[in-house]
Amino acid sequence: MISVENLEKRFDTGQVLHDLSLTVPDGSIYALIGANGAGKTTVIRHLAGILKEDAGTITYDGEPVWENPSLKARIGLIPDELWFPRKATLKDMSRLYGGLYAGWDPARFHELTQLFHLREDRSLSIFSKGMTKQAAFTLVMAERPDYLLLDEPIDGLDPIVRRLVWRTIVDDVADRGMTVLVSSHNLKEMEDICDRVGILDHGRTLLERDLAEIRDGVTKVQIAFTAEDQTGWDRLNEALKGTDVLQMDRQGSLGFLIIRGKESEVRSILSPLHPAVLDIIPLTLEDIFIYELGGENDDIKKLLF
Amino acid sequence: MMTLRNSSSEKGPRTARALRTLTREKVRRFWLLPAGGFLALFLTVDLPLFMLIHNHGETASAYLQNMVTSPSLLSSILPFVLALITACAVFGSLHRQSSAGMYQSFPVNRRQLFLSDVISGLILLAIPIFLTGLLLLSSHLAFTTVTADQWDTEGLRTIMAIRAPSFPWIWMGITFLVTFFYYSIACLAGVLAGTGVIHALLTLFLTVMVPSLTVLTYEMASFYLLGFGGEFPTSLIQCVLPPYWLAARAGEAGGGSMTGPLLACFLEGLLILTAACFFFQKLKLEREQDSVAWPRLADALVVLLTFMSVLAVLFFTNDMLGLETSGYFPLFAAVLTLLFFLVYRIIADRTTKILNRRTLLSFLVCLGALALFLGAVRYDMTGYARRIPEPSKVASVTLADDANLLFGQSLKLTSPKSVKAATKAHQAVVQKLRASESVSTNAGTSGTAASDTSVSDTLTLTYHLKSGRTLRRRFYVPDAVNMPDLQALFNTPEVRRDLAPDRLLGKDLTEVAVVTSPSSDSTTGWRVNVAERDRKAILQAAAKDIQAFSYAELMVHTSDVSEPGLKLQFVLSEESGRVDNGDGAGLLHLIPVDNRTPHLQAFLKTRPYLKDRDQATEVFQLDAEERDEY
Repeated sequence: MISVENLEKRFDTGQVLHDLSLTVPDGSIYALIGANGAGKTTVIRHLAGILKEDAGTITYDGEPVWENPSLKARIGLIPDELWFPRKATLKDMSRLYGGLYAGWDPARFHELTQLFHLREDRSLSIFSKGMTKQAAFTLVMAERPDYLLLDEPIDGLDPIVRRLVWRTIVDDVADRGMTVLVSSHNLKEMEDICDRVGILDHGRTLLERDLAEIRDGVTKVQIAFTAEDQTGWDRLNEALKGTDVLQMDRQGSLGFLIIRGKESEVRSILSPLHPAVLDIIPLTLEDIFIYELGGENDDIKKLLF
Repeated sequence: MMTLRNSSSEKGPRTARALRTLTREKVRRFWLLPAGGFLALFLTVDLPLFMLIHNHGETASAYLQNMVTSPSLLSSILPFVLALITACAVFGSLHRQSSAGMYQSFPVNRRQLFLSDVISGLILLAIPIFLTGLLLLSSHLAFTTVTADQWDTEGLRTIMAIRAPSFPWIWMGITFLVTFFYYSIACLAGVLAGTGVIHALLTLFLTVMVPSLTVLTYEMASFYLLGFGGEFPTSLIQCVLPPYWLAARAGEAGGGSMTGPLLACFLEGLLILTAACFFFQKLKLEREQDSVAWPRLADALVVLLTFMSVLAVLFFTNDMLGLETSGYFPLFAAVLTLLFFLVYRIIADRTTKILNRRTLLSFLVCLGALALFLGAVRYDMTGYARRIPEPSKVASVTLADDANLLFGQSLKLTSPKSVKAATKAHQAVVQKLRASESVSTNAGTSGTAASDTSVSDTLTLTYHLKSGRTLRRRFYVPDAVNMPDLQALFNTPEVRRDLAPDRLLGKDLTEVAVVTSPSSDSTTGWRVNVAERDRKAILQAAAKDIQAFSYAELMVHTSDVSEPGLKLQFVLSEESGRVDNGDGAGLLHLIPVDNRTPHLQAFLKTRPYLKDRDQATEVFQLDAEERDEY
């Protein structure tokens, strides 16, 4: 488990992280969401042992990461801004990574270079941005890390490659229980992949939630009554009294409800009203965060969605 | 099935392997550096040596003496450049967020990362030195087949040094140690700097900072402060920068042991690297790409650079702008300080938005430091020049002069009368110089420039106080011949007693000869060495004459050494320690043989030196050039 507690960091330009805490359970994929300048990269640089915290703790299963080579050998990092030595080839880099990481798997490296159609003997400096990202991904995944830190990993990748990248990551999570922390400024990108989400705002953790837990306890409903049923909406309002309605929208003859409660409980309340349409629809992250943030933080909404 | 590694010890970082891997990666990446280094060393060391073997050229041998067989300042330039370029390459990745992040995320701690950088740099530096050394070894073999008569004296001397079996190894050792020393400074600069350009500049600055600061402050103090001057504190520079020490050693006649300086090179290099490692471990990576990654150090550097730049400009423009005599000196210095401070601050902060409380504070520190220094030196606020000890508190005074009135000796005066005369002369000199300053200030001209320098002297008075303290003052005294108090000092019995060349007998006298100084319309001159058996008698005769000289005659005789005519010449070896011309030639004294020296004349008449001068062993013809030197 990756645990960050009360992390503080100040740069010369000002305070960057304020009392930031987050927890990444083992074997999970954690999405660290935030607008540009929220502090995502700074958090990841701390997690990778690159920056030293001013205050607070960063531990992996209780071990601090700062100046801890044993632990760092189990962490794979794909930074936002990639760098490779000039004229270095993937082969050169594989030699470097192979010498540094105990878990280096040459077979996996070759497998991934073939998967992404990367030539090992070509200089990385002539690779496109997307190819460079794939090269970095190939190197890091061949380390077989226990913890994977990804800073905006899919920027510049085409949809097919994105899918390949996520599939590889999910496979490793499933097979080896790898723990992943991935930062993004786009919540929708993370929707289908992550188990847990943390939102950063100006260096603070705004909220941190387990998605399964939220989805289990909240239901989104699409409901409509026939034109002849004049009292349908009144009956609905009456029926909802005593329930925890998080959001209610009416667009023409269609109504959308987000209600705290399991699907079966919601159905048992709404079915007796005999609506023309009663559909339980998937809850999006957008829905969750709108109600979690109270729908009032326009700045956050604007940046996240 | 999950195969997560639960323990970090299960697959450890394999520290040694990681270190090897990182080192190998950097050596492989920068392979061109040792190749270039080897070519540069080949051009400056091996090629001239091959030229010497084949052409036996004097130029090559003189060059090699400076560059190869003995360490000199010149020969340390290339090691410095190699060390600087290597350190800039190796530590270059530190100054980019992306590359620094990548290296710091690797499974090594910062100490190991630093070590890998340092070791890879040292390997890159050792390769060209070793290859050049191998070529020196091969040239050493070539010399064994050559007979000595093929070379001139200088060439032979060079070859003697190069033919020593240990020479290539010694060359490699010395070159590597000097390079190591510079490399350690460059590594420290690399850790402190935030960008590649500042890294290079900081290396240069740290290398020359101590000597530059010493020279500047010393020269400023010598220029302004009455009584300050004398021996330059080279020992400070030599201790701080061993390559300078090595160069100084090489300049000494007969050389000296290199072990001390080399050991110092090594130890100081290690110490600097330890400091660099400490800073590297404390480095805040987020500050990389600032000019200096340590804000307080940036402040200190800005203050120091401003201080040095202002002193340098004041020193070099002083005469040009007539600042010495101008009331605008403080204004000029203050504006100059502000100008340099702003420029350096903008470079350090990489922005023109520098106006804040911190900047103001460091500017005030800078201004304060300069005000203190210039106040103490330019305006003598500490009363340095006025400090003349009471005769009753003085145990003895050592008197020395640069005009050879004392034949290169320092006279230790202990009698109360002499001590009193010394303090009185000291007072008179200060008054005279102050008056001269005042006149020149009012007239707007330099005081010394208006004086008659033909009979001037530079006196050094060292007071040994009864309290155990020592007070030393050195004065350039224009028109010294017309100073009654100086005359009184030189006429005290104690000075007169010691003012005799015969006291030099058995004390590193390298030569006593009778010579003619050529006249202005003649190009010839001659010299006859005085036999060993006659030295005592001739110097005693000279002593009688000199002791009878008035102070004015003494001054004139020393100032008229170039006057044509017959002279008694004697030379004191520099090794005596009493003289130091810096050229190893010793100190030449000439005493006229004419009506002013009747005892000397009488002695020479009783010996054949003047009669048989055509058959003398060392008669020589002076050409025009030599005469000028003479």
